[in-house]
Amino acid sequence: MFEFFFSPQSVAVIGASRDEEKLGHGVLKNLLQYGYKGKVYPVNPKGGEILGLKVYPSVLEVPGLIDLAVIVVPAPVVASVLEECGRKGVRGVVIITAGFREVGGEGMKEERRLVEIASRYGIRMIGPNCLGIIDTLCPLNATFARGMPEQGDICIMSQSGALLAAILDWAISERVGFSRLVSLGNKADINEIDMLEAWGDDPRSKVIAAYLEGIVDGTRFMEVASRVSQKTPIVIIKAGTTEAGAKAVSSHTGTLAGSEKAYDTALRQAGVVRANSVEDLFDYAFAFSQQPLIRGRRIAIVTNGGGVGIMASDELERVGLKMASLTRETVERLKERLPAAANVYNPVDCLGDADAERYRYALDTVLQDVNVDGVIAIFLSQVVMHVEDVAEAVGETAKRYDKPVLACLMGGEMTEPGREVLRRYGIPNYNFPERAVKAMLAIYKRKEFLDRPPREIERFEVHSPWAQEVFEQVRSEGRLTVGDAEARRVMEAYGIPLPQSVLARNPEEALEAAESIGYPVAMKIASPDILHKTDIGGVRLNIRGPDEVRDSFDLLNYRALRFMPEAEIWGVLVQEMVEGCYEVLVGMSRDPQFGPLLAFGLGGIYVEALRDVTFRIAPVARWEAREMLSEIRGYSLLRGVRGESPADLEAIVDCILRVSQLVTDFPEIVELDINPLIVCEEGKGAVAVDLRMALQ
Amino acid sequence: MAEKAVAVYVTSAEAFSGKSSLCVGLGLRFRRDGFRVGYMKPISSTAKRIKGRAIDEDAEVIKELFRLEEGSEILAPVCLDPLTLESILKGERMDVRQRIKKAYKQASKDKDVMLLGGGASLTDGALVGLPSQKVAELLGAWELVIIRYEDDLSLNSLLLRQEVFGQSMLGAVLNTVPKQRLEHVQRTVRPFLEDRGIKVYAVLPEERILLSMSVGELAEVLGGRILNSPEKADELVEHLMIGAMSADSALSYFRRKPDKAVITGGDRPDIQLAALETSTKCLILTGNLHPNAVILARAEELGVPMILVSQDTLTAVEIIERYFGKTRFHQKKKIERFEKLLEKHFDFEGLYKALGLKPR
Repeated sequence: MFEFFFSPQSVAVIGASRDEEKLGHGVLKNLLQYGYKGKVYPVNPKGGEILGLKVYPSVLEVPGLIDLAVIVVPAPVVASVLEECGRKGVRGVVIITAGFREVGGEGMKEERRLVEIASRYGIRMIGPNCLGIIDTLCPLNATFARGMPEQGDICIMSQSGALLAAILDWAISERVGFSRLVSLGNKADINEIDMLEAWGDDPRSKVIAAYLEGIVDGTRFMEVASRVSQKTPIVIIKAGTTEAGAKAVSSHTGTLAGSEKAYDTALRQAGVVRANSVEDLFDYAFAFSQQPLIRGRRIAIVTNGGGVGIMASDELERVGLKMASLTRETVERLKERLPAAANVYNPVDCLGDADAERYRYALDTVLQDVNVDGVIAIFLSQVVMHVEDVAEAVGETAKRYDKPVLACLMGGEMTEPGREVLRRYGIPNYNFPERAVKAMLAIYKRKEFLDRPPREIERFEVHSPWAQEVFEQVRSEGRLTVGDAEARRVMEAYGIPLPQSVLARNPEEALEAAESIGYPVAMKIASPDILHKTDIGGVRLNIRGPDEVRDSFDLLNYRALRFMPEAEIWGVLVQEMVEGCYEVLVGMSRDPQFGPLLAFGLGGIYVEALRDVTFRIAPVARWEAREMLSEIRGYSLLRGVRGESPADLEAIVDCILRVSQLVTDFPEIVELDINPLIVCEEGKGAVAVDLRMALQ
Repeated sequence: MAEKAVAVYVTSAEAFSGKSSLCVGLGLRFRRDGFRVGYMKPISSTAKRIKGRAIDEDAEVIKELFRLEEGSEILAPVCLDPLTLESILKGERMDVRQRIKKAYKQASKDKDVMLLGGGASLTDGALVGLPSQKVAELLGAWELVIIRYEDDLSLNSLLLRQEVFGQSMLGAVLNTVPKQRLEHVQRTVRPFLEDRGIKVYAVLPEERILLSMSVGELAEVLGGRILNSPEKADELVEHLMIGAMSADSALSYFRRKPDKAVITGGDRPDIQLAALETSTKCLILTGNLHPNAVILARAEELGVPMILVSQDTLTAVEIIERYFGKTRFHQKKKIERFEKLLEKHFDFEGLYKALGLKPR
């Protein structure tokens, strides 16, 4: 896919310039200098000759076919140049020129024009406002950046051209190889999803790395990323995760950043590994591209320095990996050849005077252990040690096993020769143990992702027309919030258990309701504007008689009027008192990028206080709903502690799945909260006590 | 045909209770029923001075709507703008009675029904010796009283009017009745009033849109500048929300109200985008902080005006609250909505009978 971008037969540089300071010169020079073998056509209305090539006044006058055109002309003429490319039959263009959507107003309109022209001629377009593209195998360097990286198996795309230029420079000095690099720019046509699809099929790209500020179409992104990541690991830096970052992204790209929760959830669900820094991005990318898959989470540490070994052990446990417990046989074998002072249990410490052979023996022995899924090999440059030799030993030994081995060669200039050896063997090396552990964790997370069962979405039998009717009614009245009785009807349609409940508009109605439900009852103020009823004393429980009902009716109305004078009051809800052991929350908020973001957590007042909530993008499979339950800190409570009877977990799972189906069936639901869902003990179900729902 | 027009004097207990809307709504219906409808506002206390002339805005709008040929000085013969008031206080004599009578004679010529825009309270007009009931008396008009119903205490003013007007009080219209009180009003209040001889012609539920302000009005009261999509200045804003939360919670919050104005700082692009994502009629950017170009472009694309104002958020809210629900009925959308409301809830048949009119 996109061969006309990455291995074109011919390239036109439109806006090629004789002036060495101009980008149009830089692009042409890079093409020629870094060995592009196809035909190159400089285009410039002034004609003449640049860098020994004949210059054509327009693409239309170029004699042969053109696969790829790199456009470096001023913004106002880009559209007409693109039009000519269309007439010439150019297949792909990279528009380097800036001054489009990123400047707002006219620029945005101009960018839309480019999209229109490109789609009319069927031209695919990268940019505008980008650095260009590189393919190291072709080789093709269609950027204005300095230098060309080595060949490698990591491909990278970036929404920031400047960052990509910096990475390029760093990669060249660190001799990091890439297969392909793409600067996405404004993503007017080709975006991260297109690149994922293209690179997912590229046998030369073992890892896809990306720097993104926003995702164009969250739902499709998840679909494509889930598929691609089954085969090729995807590592992404998603910038704009904090409040401040999100603000910066908003004003940079003009798109709503989308909530961090949604991004985090969606990427995780799609098997994308998130990096928080450029350092992480490459730490993970190297681990994925150079090491085999892991089978479990039991990690052994081999070291020649006790302190660093301990630090690494701490970090392993902290991130949720396990220190492997070595078999008796391994321990015995280590004892045989290691000095008496050495630690033969994990972390295995070969001591500071270890030479390459001792280190090799220890690593080899540990790698053979069936209890070890992966190894972090730490070695510090100590007086007697020749780091090249140890590095050689690590590389040579690791190669013989199908288990990931990550190196941590600590030190500075003195250790450089050792680093070079590791690079040759394809052993990722990390300066400090914490980085090595994080990379190992990334490897393990990938295993977890690949082990997940297929996402089979169950369908419950529901009465969706009931819900449909409710929504039509709400819409016809020009409302956004769904009334309580209406929300109940929707829940009923989707088989979510409800308590008996009546909306009373006056004390008589409340009394009538209470009598027919039977005491005790609960009474709550009903208003679309009062979200936190308990805050204003808007809930009264365990009401046991007619006087209490009348008093409560007045009291609740009085409080509402007093504390929320602007609120629209629907009346008072009279409900059956539900006795349960636990209160949880099941909710959904529709994310502008990724769609229905399901939430589950401890309910009632705990949601606010503890924020013990976990998320998934709907629809979810049963195992995912179960996973949600087990992810919250309060899970142990739900399972019953100290002799408390466990909650009906399957009833919660059912509720999550039914909500998942509801919000998938009706995209017009933008907010939905069941809080609390009162959960009874095992086998006795759960009841949705308080409902809130808003439509688009 | 020189038969005298039937005159209905529409009055209320307070400003912004819907008098002018009612005049318009009734007049348009009368016209559809084949009557020749005239209008006059005998005494205008809300006149504005435009180009040296005191102008009553209601009269100007209704002149257009009813296609009246009479001039402004006939439709609003006594305009008590501050300048005129001052000269009256200083002793200038003005024969108000004479002026009104003369104007009425012209305004009601060849008309079947005359709708008279009344004072906002009983005291209105006392300054020139003609409080409400005297005006009605002078022109031989029936009083139709419209009040804003908030709770049962709102009825006080209605019963007081009955005392004052006596037999010439035609009846009442209860306006802006909160939805949750509708049933109570129909079931309890209406019979109560009718028992006391006050015919209730309509119980009108509260409608946000009738309380709304247009985007243009918001810009005007805040002294702000509409940065984009000026063609949307007539759009009506029904709710006001303040964007001062984290971007994460903004979206859920903004989803709760339709057709709203969102007030936020010009330096909150995240909030602005979240608001644009939901049902929003305009963004009010406080602190004179110009929005980012990209976001302005997005707002323009969506056709949501951004209004740049110099006040801080709190001050802007205070100013808007002073005006919300207290604006004129002049937008087409509001008039159409009010007409529909009347069609549904107003007892026209009863009114015609009481006035002795026979629709053709």
